[in-house]
Amino acid sequence: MFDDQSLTTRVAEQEFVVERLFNAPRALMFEVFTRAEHLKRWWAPQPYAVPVCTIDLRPGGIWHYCMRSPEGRLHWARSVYREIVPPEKLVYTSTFADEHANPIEGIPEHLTTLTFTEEEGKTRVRAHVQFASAEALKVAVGLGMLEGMSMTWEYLVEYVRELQAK
Amino acid sequence: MKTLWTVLADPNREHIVEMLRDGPLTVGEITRRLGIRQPQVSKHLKVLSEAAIVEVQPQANRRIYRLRREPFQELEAWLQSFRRLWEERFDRLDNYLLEIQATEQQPGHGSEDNTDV
Repeated sequence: MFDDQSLTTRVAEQEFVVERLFNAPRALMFEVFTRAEHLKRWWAPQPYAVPVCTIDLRPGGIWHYCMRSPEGRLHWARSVYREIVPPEKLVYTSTFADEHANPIEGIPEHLTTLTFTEEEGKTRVRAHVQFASAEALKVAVGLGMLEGMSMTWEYLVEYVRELQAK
Repeated sequence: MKTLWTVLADPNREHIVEMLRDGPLTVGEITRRLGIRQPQVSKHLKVLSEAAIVEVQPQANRRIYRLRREPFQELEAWLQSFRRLWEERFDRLDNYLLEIQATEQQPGHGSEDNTDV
């Protein structure tokens, strides 16, 4: 007998949701996600910094930023806004890029849907991240060989290792 | 590992993987759905087997192909790491919000311990 139920479920899960209740009004939450001066101060996971961040907040507009490692390595990323509904919702696709916001070939885009919901003066932020199936599979099976292909990718692989080592 | 990327770069092989996501299939069924000649299909399946993406299970006189779990477990692990990145980002955001809200509330409370401009 084939036991494919669990496999099918797992394959379908090329997406995840992370949510949290923040003790701040919704308008402010939407701002911290859409204004460069805010994003520069929290967007990168520790110990990375965001020295450059430009935002063109309109559908089709580009959000281009750079993450700097403690050793000074720069990793650029680019998102394109799909839907902007202040202060409720933000939808964008993201991928790694170069310093001119050109996407790096071979790395799949992922779609992020952020929703901001009011809950008694607080705000629930829900991040729904989705990867295109075939592309994500390529990335997954290619993880072992992609390292070194680009500095940007190396960063993510390294980062993943750091997290796993914790 | 090095070959996996090139293995899936072929559209027919990618298509086979997509089909097998819905469950195991015989060579005949894969051939019918792909609409290419069986020797070609067998060649692609051989490449996929060698790359450990699919495995074959003989059943009576048929050969049934199915996806192996391992590549998907890697995918799962990768998604988990990406997810943790978001958790960590939210931690940092939590701290940042405390910081800016403390600054905003400062004038209304005549705080003596905050001398920043």
